[in-house]
Amino acid sequence: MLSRVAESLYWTARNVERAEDLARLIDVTAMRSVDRAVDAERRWLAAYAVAGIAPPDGEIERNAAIERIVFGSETLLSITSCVRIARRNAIGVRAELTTEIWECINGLYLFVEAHSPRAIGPDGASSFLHAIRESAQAFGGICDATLAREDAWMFLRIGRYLERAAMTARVLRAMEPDAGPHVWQLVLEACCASEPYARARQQSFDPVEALAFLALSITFPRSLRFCLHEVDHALHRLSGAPVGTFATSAERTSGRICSSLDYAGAADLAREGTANVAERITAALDELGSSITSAYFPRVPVG
Amino acid sequence: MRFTIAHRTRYRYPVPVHESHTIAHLQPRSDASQYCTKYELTVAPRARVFSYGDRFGNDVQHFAVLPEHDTLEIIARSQVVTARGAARAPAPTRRSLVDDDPLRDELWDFLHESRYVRYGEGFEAFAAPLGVPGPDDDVVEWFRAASKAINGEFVYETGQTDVHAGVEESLALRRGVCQDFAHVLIALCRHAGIPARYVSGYIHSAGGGETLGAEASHAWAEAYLGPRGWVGIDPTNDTWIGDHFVRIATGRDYRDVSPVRGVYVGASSSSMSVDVFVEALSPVQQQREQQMLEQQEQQQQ
Amino acid sequence: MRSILDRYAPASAFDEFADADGRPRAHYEALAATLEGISSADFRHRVTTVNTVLLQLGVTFTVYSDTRGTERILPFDLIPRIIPASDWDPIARGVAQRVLALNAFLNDVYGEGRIMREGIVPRELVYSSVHFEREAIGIRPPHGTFIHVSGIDLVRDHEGTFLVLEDNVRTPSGISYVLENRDVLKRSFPRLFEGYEPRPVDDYPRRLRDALLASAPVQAADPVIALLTPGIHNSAYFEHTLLARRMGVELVEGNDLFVRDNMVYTKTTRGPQRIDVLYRRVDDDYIDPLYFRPDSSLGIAGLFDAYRAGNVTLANAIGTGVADDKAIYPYVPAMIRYYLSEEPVLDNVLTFDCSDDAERQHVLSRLEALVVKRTSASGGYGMLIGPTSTHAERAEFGDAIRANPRDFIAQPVVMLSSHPTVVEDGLAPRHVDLRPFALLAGNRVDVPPAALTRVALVEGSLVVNSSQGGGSKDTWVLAE
Repeated sequence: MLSRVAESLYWTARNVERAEDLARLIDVTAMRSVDRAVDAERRWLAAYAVAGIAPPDGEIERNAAIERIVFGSETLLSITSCVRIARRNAIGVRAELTTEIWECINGLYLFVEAHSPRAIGPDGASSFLHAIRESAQAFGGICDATLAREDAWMFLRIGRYLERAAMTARVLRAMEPDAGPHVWQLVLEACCASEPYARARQQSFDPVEALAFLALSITFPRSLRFCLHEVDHALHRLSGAPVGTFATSAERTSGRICSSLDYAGAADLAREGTANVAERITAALDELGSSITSAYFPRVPVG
Repeated sequence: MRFTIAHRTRYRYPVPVHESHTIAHLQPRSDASQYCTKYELTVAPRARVFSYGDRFGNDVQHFAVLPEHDTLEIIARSQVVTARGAARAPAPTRRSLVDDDPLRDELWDFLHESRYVRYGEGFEAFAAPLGVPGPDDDVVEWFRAASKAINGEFVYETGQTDVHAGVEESLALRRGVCQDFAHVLIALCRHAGIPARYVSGYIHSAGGGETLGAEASHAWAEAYLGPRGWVGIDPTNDTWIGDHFVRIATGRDYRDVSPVRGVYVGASSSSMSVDVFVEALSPVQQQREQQMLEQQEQQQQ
Repeated sequence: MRSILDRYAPASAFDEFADADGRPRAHYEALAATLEGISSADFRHRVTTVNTVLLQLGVTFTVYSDTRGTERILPFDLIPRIIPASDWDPIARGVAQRVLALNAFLNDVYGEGRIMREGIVPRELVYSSVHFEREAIGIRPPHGTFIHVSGIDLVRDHEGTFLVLEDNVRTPSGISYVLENRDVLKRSFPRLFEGYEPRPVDDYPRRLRDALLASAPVQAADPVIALLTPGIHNSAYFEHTLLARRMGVELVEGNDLFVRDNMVYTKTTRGPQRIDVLYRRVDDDYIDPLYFRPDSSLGIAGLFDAYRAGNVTLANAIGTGVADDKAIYPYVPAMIRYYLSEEPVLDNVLTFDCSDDAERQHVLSRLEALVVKRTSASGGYGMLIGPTSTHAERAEFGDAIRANPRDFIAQPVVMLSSHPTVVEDGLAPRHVDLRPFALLAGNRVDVPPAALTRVALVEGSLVVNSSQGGGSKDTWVLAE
């Protein structure tokens, strides 16, 4: 596969995933702030931090946050920017995508372009974000349902799970050390983990268990460990090297992160602290991103 | 005369570049008036060098350096023998050259403006005193007069024009380097209906005295003078092309024969330095070499 | 119920649908019968639906002058244009003949130059053409094929005679509309096909691939084709993706390719892969920054070296633009006689050469009656339509012609044939042209029955170009 095509697929998937995750985060943050169960200002600041977008100088409140994080056109990190970037990348690899995948991403783009903060109004944010999330999830589903399990699919998968792990890590990193159960609840919801966590751990709420669930679950599809195993698996299928060995520096990095999660326990993480775990994983994911780039999308032709 | 020539071009890139592709017009021509006995092009970082003959009859080399690099060095080494005989054919008149030559149509490119040879503003005024040769005038005389006019009007000064200057710019400044002198002379010829082309090469300061352009690659002009073929004048030194000139390549103007040009990938700017060494073998050395050649021939017999 | 055909009244031009008495021509009778039963409201509804479908499919083009770079669809008109076999056969023969002559011309002007030496085509016109690529002199492309893909624009005069309006032998586009229009019409309006068996168009990609494979360098045992696009901002990008997908070849941009040791490779996730045939939709000027425009970011440095060395087929070859220079166009019939010893099957439109003093005087004195075209331009840009021009426009063109006569030709206004076209209140006659495509490999020309009909949607307009408010129609070439 052309390196440029692989890279575009990778960034398409990363941006669609990011749009979905941000949409969920903003929706949950808005919902949880309404009844003052949490400190709204603090939660919006956390949302800005997760998005990587600078908060405004003035008052930190809902409408401004939605305008910036959802619609901000001066940043490449807002939801609408992500959708535009994803579609731009998809256009460039139009020939690699099935018509249904293309229609999905083009439809998401046309939907987002047709809306503005004024158009959705003060009460329309939730349904608007819901629609984005749904489209983004449909994108993943259509990819899985229509693409051959070949290189294109692998690169989409790597992009999707790498971004998902990064978002989970960023949500954890933005938490304050003394976060109470309401904040943890919000974090779990932002990671779509509230119900799965409740089902898995039926005892009363425990921050150590919650962190372990988001980081170490081998079955929950948004945990760091699950996501990293998906990336690792796809990388090995690309290179043909058996899992547990490595053919590229990318597999070496992903393998290292996987084993650091495979053999960690809830108590280890608690000792390390949420912020430190999140920091460590974020740095490792950055490294993984650059080693994927140098292995598969090199600027200089090899050989 | 016999020359040993080394021509080194060096590029430095403050930030590494990659995928650089380069074209070199550095191989001296072999024809009736000179012969290139040896030619070697070396490139660092190492690259495979390819060669082709272009439509002007020049031998051109090109090569690519794909990996990242922050310098590029190109060294051309050659040995050339020159032996220009005196003109034997009669000097053409404008009538015989312009009106009656069947080859004329094929010389279209040397009769029309080209990238660096555009008449532009101020040209008519400059060309007027020289006039165009009358139907029965000797075109050779006119060509010489054109060179003299440029040599008298223009001041040789480096750093005033860059390699992309055209005739208009040179005329405005009334100064420039050999490339500018040559372009102006070509423009005068073409404007007067005489086919003219650009020559890049070397000049050796053989005769002593001041020889302009000897420290670098040189350039001059050739006019197509019917039965005499292509005849060269160096307007920078206002002299016919003698044995102390070495021709590398000919074309419409500088663009067709620039010694080294290329492209690369990378945002970087570059700095270039060029060193040219033209060494004439002394009469004693030439004699010795001649003896060696004769002995070798005898042994082979 | 009132039929949408009720008020169809052709004006002065030759009408494709109705004869002089206003009755449908024989090959349109079945269509007329179907249309009798359809209301104009139904029709308008279908037009809207179809255009929405096209937008969703992403069948779009970009208009260069539009600063927002908006994507628009080429408006699709539901009423098909029908060409009986008796009309198509001479078209196909004439197009094939013309392409062979133009290809011979290119071999000649980049080779021996016989036609110029013999004074049949003036050297002046060839050498002064901005598309004459001097770097290509002396290079014979694989199999001597220059024009692998061409589109020849035809119009019909007031008597219905097909004439060649211009040749497009650089990177002609439009075939994607032919393919999509047929698909969309079959899906949205199958009823219209009742009583007809138009020849299929969907094997065009296969025929194109065959022609490209046959044009590969002889030493390439199992040739690999790639389609080179300027990228997503190009107006024909959709077409590039469609053709790449349907041919099953890689769609590449300049940055995806590199040249090593005079061979062309793609950069892939598994290392370099050799390319033997590049179907390139990038103009000569941008194809290789080393030899052509140095500021081009669309091309591949060293590609021209690979081409010169015979290691890659470029389709079309370098320098074909000199053959569709509008100043060369008047000489095409002479080329046909010179190279093929045949009489032209299709005639040219009468053309005045502004570089000729007498013809220029004639043109300048009759600007209001003529169409003036820039010799190097295409796509309907740089034209003056005399009868609808303003005094100021004529003055501007007059000055431009006097300043650079070589850059202009002029032709009498050809009243393009008209065809029923959907308008606000039913069907109305609108002017159409026809662009058949030709595929050349060696000496074999293939003219697939896949031609593009463009229609000027503005009443009375004679400009059908997509960039100038034109639309397109599905075009049915009928079997015997």
